[in-house]
Amino acid sequence: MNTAVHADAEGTRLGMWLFLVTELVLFGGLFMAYAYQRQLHGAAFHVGGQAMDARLGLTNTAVLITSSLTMALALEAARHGARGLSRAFQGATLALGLAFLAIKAVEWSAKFHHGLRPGHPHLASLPPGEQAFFGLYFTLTGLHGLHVVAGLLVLGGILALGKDRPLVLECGGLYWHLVDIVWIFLLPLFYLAA
Amino acid sequence: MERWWIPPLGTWAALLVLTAALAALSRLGPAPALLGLLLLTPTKAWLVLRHFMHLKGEGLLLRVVPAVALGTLLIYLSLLFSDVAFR
Repeated sequence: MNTAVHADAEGTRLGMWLFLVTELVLFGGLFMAYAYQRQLHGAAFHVGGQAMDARLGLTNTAVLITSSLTMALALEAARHGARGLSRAFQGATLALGLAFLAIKAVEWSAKFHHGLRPGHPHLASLPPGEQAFFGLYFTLTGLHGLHVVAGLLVLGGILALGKDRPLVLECGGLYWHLVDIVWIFLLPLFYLAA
Repeated sequence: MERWWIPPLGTWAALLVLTAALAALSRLGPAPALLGLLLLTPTKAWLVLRHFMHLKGEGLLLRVVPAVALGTLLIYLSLLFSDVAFR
């Protein structure tokens, strides 16, 4: 019996890109909401940005960019037949993704501690523009965090099940890099907004 | 021996340098920060798309699909600003 895996690489990548386009539209709509609210409440967004910890944002940027590097290296290693090295890079990507989420948890905890969460009386007492800033902050970074979790589940599944063929890794990597791109835009919009 | 790890390392280094430049510009005031947002951030995204996501080596169809999506978003953003900027 022929057990060879048949795959249309071009078609697979096209399907993955069509899925990624829906993700771009999802985040694009929220970025437009941010642009509209910032146009209306420029000064309040500046004040809101002062409550952000730029060091944590920049650290998480370095962590996520480095995870994109290890993901790219995992694919290149797999393409060059170095499967053990590829699996090591996949593990590094997972570790960096978890580090990103841990830093994000620290950051959100501080915001919660200061009453800057949806539904808290302190946030409700702030001017409408600052409420919009923090509403968009939790929506966008929360949705992005969910995408990081989804990416970790996909990449973790590929590694755990030993399905790390180059084409599968490439599709998982495309998703991971898209999550990186979204964060690249979130950094200046929130953490460097002040 | 092929040094396949060098191009990804170069892209990674460029992304870190651009991030540092973005952070430095944001400390100089609103105008430099806006310049960084409009120039450096898309450049970083372009580097990831071109090198990490391999659009550089893809055929026309796979390059057109994200280009159409990004172009559509840019049109929507332009329409939004043409409205709210002149109210």
